[in-house]
Amino acid sequence: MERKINKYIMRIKDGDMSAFDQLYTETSKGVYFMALSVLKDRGLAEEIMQETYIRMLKNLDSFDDGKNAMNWLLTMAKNLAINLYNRNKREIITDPSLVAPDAQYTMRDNGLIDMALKNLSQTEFNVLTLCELKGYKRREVAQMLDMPIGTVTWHYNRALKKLREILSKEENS
Amino acid sequence: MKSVKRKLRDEINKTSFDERILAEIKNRAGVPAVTARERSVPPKRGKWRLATLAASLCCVFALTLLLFAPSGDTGGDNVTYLTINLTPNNAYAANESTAVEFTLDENNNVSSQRALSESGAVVLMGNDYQKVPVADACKEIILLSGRLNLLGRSPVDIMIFDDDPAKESSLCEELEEHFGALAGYCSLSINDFDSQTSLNAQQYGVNKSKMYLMETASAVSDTPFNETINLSTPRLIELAYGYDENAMDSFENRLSDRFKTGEDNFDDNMYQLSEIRDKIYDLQGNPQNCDKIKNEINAFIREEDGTFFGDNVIGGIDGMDDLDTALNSGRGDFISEIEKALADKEYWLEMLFYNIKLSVIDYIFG
Repeated sequence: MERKINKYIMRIKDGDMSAFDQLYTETSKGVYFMALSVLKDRGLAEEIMQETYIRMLKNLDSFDDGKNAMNWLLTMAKNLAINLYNRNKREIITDPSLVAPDAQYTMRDNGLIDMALKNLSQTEFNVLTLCELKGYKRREVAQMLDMPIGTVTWHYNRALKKLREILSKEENS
Repeated sequence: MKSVKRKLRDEINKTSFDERILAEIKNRAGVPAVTARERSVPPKRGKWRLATLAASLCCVFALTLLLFAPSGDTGGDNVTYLTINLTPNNAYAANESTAVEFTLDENNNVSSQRALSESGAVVLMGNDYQKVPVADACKEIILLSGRLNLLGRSPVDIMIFDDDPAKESSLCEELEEHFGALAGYCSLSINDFDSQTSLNAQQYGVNKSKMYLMETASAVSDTPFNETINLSTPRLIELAYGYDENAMDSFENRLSDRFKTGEDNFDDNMYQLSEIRDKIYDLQGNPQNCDKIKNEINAFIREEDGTFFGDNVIGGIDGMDDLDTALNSGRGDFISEIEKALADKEYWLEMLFYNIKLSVIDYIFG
């Protein structure tokens, strides 16, 4: 997956914009969930996702093939999300009923994602979502997040355990 | 009922975004959109016309080669190759299958073995099937893959490649008889080429298995079909499986380093295990000491950079979830696992290798 993403970016750099659609398809969810982990708001996470790709397209010169492309994208998304969060600190929407109308899903359809967002740390949420994304191997997730594989496994197991415990408590109550 | 993991995976992968987002990105970044004129031209049809013409030329060229070219570089000896291919349930891409290749001698014993994928390398590591009858070797690979949770819902695909179709056929029959006992364990498919080859093998003067390899190698590696005609069977297998010798060598070296680490550090680890056992005996009996025991185990199995040594070393414990379970509800079993390990070096090494394989499979498949 990592090599594929790097190839797409190099093709875009060479002027082949058809690679951008493919890049977007392969990476948008990862970028989105990274932004969501910081902002905890779907509408804002979508905005940051857009902004990340726009920045990427404008800063292609700064990317060279030796870098991990997904790590680059995720770092950009995280930094943009943090900037937005800091700017809007007092305005972050915490009431789910006020989620932007163009956000695509309902709480019912995404119960586990919501639960994870609410109860996991940012790192646990990132590790869990990236590890569960189709096509992403754990080794690649470790490189994307710049973490040892064992640490990724540790966070992943902890995150899953927390979710199971919460679900179990909800079922029993 | 779906597991939490499966439900979460489904939710995450079903996430989708409005198409307008992509359009907006391109608009704001100044990426040119497709023009009305471009949209009205049917490029695919044009491309297909060209593709058809190219294919026709290739066929003519291929036939010419077949008539006039020298025979393939098989070296003149008739060697039988057998590949085993498993696709676990959690594999999303073809290159995540578990694939192994055996070369056979005239008595259908394994003369050499090769991993064709990373998880194939894990399955083979530490297991030498040389001189083992191929049916026994295949059965062991399948059973071991089952233990490592690499068997999926897809059938285990066994392919036999020999320039002599009669030899292929007789080995097929022998394996089908031998694998009867595995019927309840997994489904198998042996030399199922009929549904998988589109071109006429006779037309190219090869048997069906070779035609299947040529077509697959051409499709997977983007090699023009006519270039596959003169390739050797091992080379076709490499192309069909996306085998990269350098990448595989590098992976296998790292893998064998982990096994070596386990064995070379055995005495140190056994000493530490005995220390932990003593501490656990001191601490047990008091439920409040559960955390202390966990910390002792953590300190032992965690390396300095925070990663786990072999991901787990002691008994069959897999990850922190099971460690908690073992400590909270099965402390006696946990202690006995340690005692067993201390008493039996072979058992400990076998568990270590097995657990390293499990952790590497987890590493490959995430």
